[in-house]
Amino acid sequence: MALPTQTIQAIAVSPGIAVGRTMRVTGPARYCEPEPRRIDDAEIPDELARYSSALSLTRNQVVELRQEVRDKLKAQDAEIFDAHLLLVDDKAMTAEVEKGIREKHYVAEYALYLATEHFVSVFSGMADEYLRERASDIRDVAARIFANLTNIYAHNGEIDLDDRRIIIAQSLSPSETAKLDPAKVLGFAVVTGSATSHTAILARSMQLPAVVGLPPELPERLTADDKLIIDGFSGKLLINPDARTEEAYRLKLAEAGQLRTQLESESELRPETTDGFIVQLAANLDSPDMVDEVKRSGASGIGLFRTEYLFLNRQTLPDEEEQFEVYKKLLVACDNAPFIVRTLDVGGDKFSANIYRSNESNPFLGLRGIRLCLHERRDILETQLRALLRAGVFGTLRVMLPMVSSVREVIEVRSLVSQLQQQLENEGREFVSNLSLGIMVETPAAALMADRFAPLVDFFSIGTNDLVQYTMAIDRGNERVAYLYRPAHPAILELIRRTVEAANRHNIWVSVCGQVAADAAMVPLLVGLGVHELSMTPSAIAVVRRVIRSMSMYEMEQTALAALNCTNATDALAVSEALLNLRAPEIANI
Amino acid sequence: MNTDDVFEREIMVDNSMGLHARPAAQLVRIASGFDATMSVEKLDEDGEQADCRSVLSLLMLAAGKGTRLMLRASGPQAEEAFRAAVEFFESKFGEEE
Repeated sequence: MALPTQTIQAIAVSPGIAVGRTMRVTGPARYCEPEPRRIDDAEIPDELARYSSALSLTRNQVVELRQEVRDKLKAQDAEIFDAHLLLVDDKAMTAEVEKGIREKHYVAEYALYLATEHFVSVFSGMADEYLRERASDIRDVAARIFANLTNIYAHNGEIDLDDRRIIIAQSLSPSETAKLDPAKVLGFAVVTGSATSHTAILARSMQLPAVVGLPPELPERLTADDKLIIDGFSGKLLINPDARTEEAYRLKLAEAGQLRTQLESESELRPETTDGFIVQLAANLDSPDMVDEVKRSGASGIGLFRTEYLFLNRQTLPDEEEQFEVYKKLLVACDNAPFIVRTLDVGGDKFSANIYRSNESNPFLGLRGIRLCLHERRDILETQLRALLRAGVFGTLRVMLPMVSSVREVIEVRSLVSQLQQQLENEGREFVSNLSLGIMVETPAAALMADRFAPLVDFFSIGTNDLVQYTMAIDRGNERVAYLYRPAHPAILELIRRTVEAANRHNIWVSVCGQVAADAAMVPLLVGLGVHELSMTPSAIAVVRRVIRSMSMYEMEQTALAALNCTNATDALAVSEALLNLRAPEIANI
Repeated sequence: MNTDDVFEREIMVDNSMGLHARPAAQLVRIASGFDATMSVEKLDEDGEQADCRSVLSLLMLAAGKGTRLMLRASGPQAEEAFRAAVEFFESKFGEEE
């Protein structure tokens, strides 16, 4: 049954409007405690039958999955599914669930939940580590059965839809989000997440309207009959809106589409303020497939190429040749436009067992980025730098280091670079002899010491997502402090100002490659503070170009000055929004 | 053939890793191949029992090296199942040289 008309105020994480029907999604790895609903004696046979048909459905799925894995990967990897099959058919498990249904009169979901928790707790308590780990296999299998029981769509990555829908879920992992097909998905609304989670960042780069922070019980109550509107600007989720509201949103959608087409047709225009200052607009590149999109956007170059994708989700590390080929191809594709590569930034929340196993209690403050590369895995950094030095001859390469907090780190890398250049020279290979090397300014230490860093580097690139996290002392994944995530906070603006000032004194340039560079309301502040380049997801460039072309440098500087003197982020942002609404009111609706 | 016969014998888990997931899974396959009921009982104070057709119950024995077990089989194909299981235990699950 469809829910009554209502509006939920959630948190906007990716702008845009989506109008469509509900598709509720749950992943196989997540199942939560179901309602302990009781049934009558008369219902027992049906409940047992329902469980048994969920079992056979699950069995077929696991067999299919095993076949798929066998075909694609190695037979060894498929063995895990043999174990899963045995668990699906396990007599002790089945007996426990049937007991719960027959004797305790629980619905199958709850009986399954109890049985699973029983076995999981026994296994988790075992002395043998290997056996302890079997607890996760049990949960995994139980989650599959659970999904089949509740008839919730359990997906193994792909989401198969006949028409375009709005995805509703408890949460979506970054990899699940990445697999959403924009041809089938209009947008999504989930319970957990934040504007700075990787899922939200992906949603923006895929241009999928999204909101997070739904009430936890909402996803279960929504069905395919429910019509939804996601307002990714205001963070609203409208459930079964009346005809007038829907019409108004459809109109907005159409207007936004027209404006977007108009803005995209301006990709040849220079990003120049009304008083003649040019701001470089570059693109962030997450994977090499995006190169064509970058070219269409009219970007001046690649402002940030994250190399993590080369290293994560694979069994072995990429060797020098493999990396060389990737960098070379991209440099050639850039056709001498600047191409900024960030060296491997793992740690924090991005890990791979074959790089480093962390048991740090606070990995975001631990061995991360350049720290990890200089201390634990110098071999990885060496291989990457060698590949970069060799590929650099094919274009305009710039290399930057993540998570720098002390001058010593830069000195160490500089000396490593010279050693590697000597090596390449001895081997008689071609390489760049004057590598342009910069640092990410994403720790308060780097920003405060910018005048000490500036003589040692060729550029600064401010990573605002981390700079905000470290300056405001908030864990990006912790929803309870998400309200403190405010890039317009005067403390952040002050750090940016100091960084730019130091750079100007030493005649080097400053870029901002964090997500705020794509935020129309933040652009006047960043440009007004004197940032030379903004690097963002390619789809945002058209809007930012329009913002810059509609204002003068003078008024942006005045606005930034006013914002710096505010006492809080809300006031600082309001100052900037006022200018935006005055000069480019059309932008507010896209 | 008398279907009431119960075959019984004390056996020892003799490989270094004990009755872990892989041999447990193999024992389930052996037990499932015959029309017989087969169980193992741990010969210690708890006397925990496990159905040889359930991986979970076998693993829950947490039978490490040196554990003594009572193997029991009954049913129409009890003898065949029993022999196959004894052979499997005596081969140290086919894991060691």
